[in-house]
Amino acid sequence: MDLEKILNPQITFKIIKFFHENPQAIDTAESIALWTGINIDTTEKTLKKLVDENILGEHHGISTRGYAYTQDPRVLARVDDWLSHNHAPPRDDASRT
Amino acid sequence: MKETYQEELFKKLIGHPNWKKQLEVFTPFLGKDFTWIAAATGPLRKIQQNDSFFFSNSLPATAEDRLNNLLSETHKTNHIQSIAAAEGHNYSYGLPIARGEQIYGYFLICDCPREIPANILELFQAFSVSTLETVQKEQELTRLYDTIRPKTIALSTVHTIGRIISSTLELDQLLPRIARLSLQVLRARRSVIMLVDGQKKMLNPFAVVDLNDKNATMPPLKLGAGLPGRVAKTGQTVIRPQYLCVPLVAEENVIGTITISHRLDNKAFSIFDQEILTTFSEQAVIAIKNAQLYEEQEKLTLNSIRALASVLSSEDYNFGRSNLFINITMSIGMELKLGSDQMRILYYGAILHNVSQIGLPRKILKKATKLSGKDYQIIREHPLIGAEIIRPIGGKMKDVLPIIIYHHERYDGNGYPSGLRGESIPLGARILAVADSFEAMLSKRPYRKKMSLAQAVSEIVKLSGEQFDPIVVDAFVRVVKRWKNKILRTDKNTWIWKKF
Repeated sequence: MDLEKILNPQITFKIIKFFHENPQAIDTAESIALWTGINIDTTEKTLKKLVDENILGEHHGISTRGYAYTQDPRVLARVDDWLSHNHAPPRDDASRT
Repeated sequence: MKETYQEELFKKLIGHPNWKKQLEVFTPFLGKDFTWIAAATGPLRKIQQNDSFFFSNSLPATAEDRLNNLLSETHKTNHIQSIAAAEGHNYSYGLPIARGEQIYGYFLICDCPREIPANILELFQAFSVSTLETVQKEQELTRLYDTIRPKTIALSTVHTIGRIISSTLELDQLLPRIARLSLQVLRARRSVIMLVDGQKKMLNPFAVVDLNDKNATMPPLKLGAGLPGRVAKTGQTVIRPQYLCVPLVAEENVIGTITISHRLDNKAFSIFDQEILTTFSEQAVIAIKNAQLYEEQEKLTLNSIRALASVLSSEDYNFGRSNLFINITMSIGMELKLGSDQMRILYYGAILHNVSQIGLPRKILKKATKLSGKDYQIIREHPLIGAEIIRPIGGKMKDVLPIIIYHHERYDGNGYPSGLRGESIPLGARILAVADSFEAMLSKRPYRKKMSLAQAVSEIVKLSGEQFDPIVVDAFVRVVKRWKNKILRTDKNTWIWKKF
């Protein structure tokens, strides 16, 4: 898992930071979009990507899909370490040299 | 020394961009080399001098006595005070910074080369107070945000969990889901849900989820034994550093327990965790009770169906379906990989679809000669009669009715009662059509002899695409080829299809 690549886009950073600060949260894409100030379409795509990378997990109901922080201690430790060295959201990809 | 709210506010004031702008604007009036000192109350002490930030319990010994006196006088009177220029010193002024009755601190404007008009000082004071009010609002908003946001997020979590766990009524899916969610919310490693068996005075495990062990189990416990047993018996939560167990309570009765153990961060469980799990368990109880009620309703429906099927099978009616028929029907369903709900509906349809024969005259059913046109007319109406007998049972019967109504339709559209064709005929009805005819072929009738297994299979295949759905026929043939003569076993214990 290349955390540098996964977490560097600003949007991904914001979502991960939200779960890092609220590890007990289980919430829908709509609510996460509200908490992070990101539009819903981008939020949904990013959440799915983070589930694929095992940084987030999913809990399904018939009409509800809740996203939650991973419980894998190895992933948690790596993300924790990355965030402790990267306090501020990164610049957008377009501005990166 | 811990800061008071007042000190914090004052510090934010003198760090605010508005304050810096204010100093720039007033410098021409105050003189470019003037010094300002900010002093907070409670007790009175200096906290900043120009750009040097420091904090002390009292005015430093090096401060001039005259400035000490100025500060004290300003503090005593709460009005702008001044010290006139004297030899070796410039003008100095003390300004209280207050909002209503609340004094937040004082500014000492020192070393002004000329006397500052009172209106300028009052204007400076007013701007300072205005900046203070802005800072105070910002600070209150931040406090509100910091207080409300985590609670709102927690509330949203509770709401999402409620929606997820109430979306299933199957207890065997619901309880593992609750266990997994509890681990997520409490950031723990293991969750066990046990339900009370009141008659046996036991606590039985219904869901065990352990992130480190996919095959984790838990033995049943006597009420009162072990941690969950004690919680179930007393109805009291138990919290230990590594374990947290709360009772599941419905209408003042303990119906079970939920036990969480080993936080992922290895910290001890706290009272806050207990509150979270208690709230969670209250939601879980509602979902569990709903699921149990649903199960009871399902059992009631099934018992009604079985009672009706028994009547059909009684000597007076003899309309029950043979085990062979049910065996074939359900085996075709398994071969077509129907889901558990569809299999249940197929089963109900299989045992009940002949209920309509109750309304048919015996002389038609037993007729050894060819049926007349009038006889056929009566027969073509019997599926609808059957549906009307079943309809009042309600519940899942609404899904069974189409099987009962349409099991005499033909794939080519030449069946009855509606002349449906192809896949417009419900799948269950298409399966029953094959099983019904297969069983009939293997049975003796008043008008013909019974066929052999091979002959019956051959006849079914011949009518594929005409009377029967080709996909269903293919599934039927695979079932017969796999099981051969075992398909004819009528003993329920040897049924080749697994009970769904």
